[in-house]
Amino acid sequence: VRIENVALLGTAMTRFSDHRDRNLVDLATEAGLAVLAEAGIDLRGVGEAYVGSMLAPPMYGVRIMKQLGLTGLPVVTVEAASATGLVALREATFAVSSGRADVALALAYEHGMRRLPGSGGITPGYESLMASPSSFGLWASRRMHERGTRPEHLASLAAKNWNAARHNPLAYHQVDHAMTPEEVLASPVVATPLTQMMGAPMGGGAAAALVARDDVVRRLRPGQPLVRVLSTALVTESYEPGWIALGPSIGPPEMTATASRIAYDAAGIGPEDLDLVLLHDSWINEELEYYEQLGLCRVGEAEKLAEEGATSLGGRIPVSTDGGLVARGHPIGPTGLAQVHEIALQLSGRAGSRQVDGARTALAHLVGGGSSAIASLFQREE
Amino acid sequence: MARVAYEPGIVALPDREGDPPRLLGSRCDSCGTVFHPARPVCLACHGRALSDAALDGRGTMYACTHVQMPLRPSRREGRDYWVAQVDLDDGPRVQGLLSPDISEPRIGMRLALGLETLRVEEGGDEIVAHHFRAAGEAG
Repeated sequence: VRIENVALLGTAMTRFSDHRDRNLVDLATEAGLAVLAEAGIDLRGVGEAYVGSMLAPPMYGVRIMKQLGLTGLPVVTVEAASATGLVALREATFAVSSGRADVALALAYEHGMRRLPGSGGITPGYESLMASPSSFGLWASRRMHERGTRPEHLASLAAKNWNAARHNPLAYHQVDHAMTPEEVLASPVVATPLTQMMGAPMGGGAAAALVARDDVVRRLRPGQPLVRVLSTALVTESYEPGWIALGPSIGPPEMTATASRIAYDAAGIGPEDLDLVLLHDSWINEELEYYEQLGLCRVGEAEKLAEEGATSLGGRIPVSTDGGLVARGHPIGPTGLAQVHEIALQLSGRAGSRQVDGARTALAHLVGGGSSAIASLFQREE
Repeated sequence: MARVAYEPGIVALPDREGDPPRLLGSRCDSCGTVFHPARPVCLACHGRALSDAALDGRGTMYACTHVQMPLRPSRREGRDYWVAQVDLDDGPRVQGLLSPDISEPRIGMRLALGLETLRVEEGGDEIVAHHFRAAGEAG
């Protein structure tokens, strides 16, 4: 169903970086305080909080929230691997749309460089004999076999995202020169056909978003355009022949098609209405797959869309305007809320040198652990 | 001084060296769908009655990648390795290591099941895992 009467009240993020000199609580506190400051409220104004990370030890969510105040509000920890941030926003949105809260917080954080005792990680077993990028290399190898995808297609999309990040001071990768497909191809091979510069850096960071009823946002943010959450859809895998039980592997790409179709239908819009897209490019071959699954082009035409430059800044449908996972970075938990932050900037005309002219409607998409997909739609009020 | 599988429930090791290993799985009593590893519920028809199955691991390569990111030495020796997805003749698509001896892996090639020693423990136990090798080669 279409979500009525819920809008973004504020968004914030730390820079995504290795942050070797900072700890997880410190990063999460920075993002949490920043989003409250942007909204002009303190924790007393927040009705519910959804917090999350993939790797933090148990109870860290509640501990982190104490940094922001002790007001008795319900705090729920959300974990959905790479999709954690968008799933936290989904729950915060429902907290408002259900009438339980006037204002709800989504906050996600991760520190891949300084893991705490008790943190999650790889389960030992046969799967651990295959490094996780192998699943993306396998997927890309199959696409090359079926569609004639060339390494140059992958490299040019990765270069696009590295170059977008040059306009984003909070991005993990900051390069002082225009990135070229040749430089991407020349970086060390991780899992053929993927090279290091085609994959997302983890690092650490935190990001947050506040959602509230329209009238609350109008009152607290006078003069700011109203950016609504139109719909959100979360799916897990459906069984199809060819489903792989023992990975690391990525579930059927149709998960993304299903999630986005549910989100489009609920919002009453289609992919042709989008002005920009943030998607799950943890490895760049995913970007080609999701162009098709999200309906940005027909199945089999993703390489053509990429060749035309349609998804670059200034193109017909810019994708990953903040650098995407490949260059903005992918600390896992907070990634979805960094996407929401980018969408808030773009749809309110505050994205600076990477602004998409007149952007009104945007989609955020993530895949969690290869086992779930989420698509959420946002639109600025006319 | 025994051979021990790296993870239980994945592969059946032969009693005699030279005999072939088997992948462990289950077959749905209602619809016949085969799974590796075994499952408590049939994912195709939601049947609850499944029988244990031992799969010979023969199949056709669906996808492959050459991984050049080293694993921890405690897991497997060597800096680089191949991983494949294989459509087994018995039904399921599975993912696993390719034999280090395989030459020119390519989509569509025929594969069979083999074993490799990952490491030898202090007491002499060999920790082994299954891999796929080119069909027709000694495994």
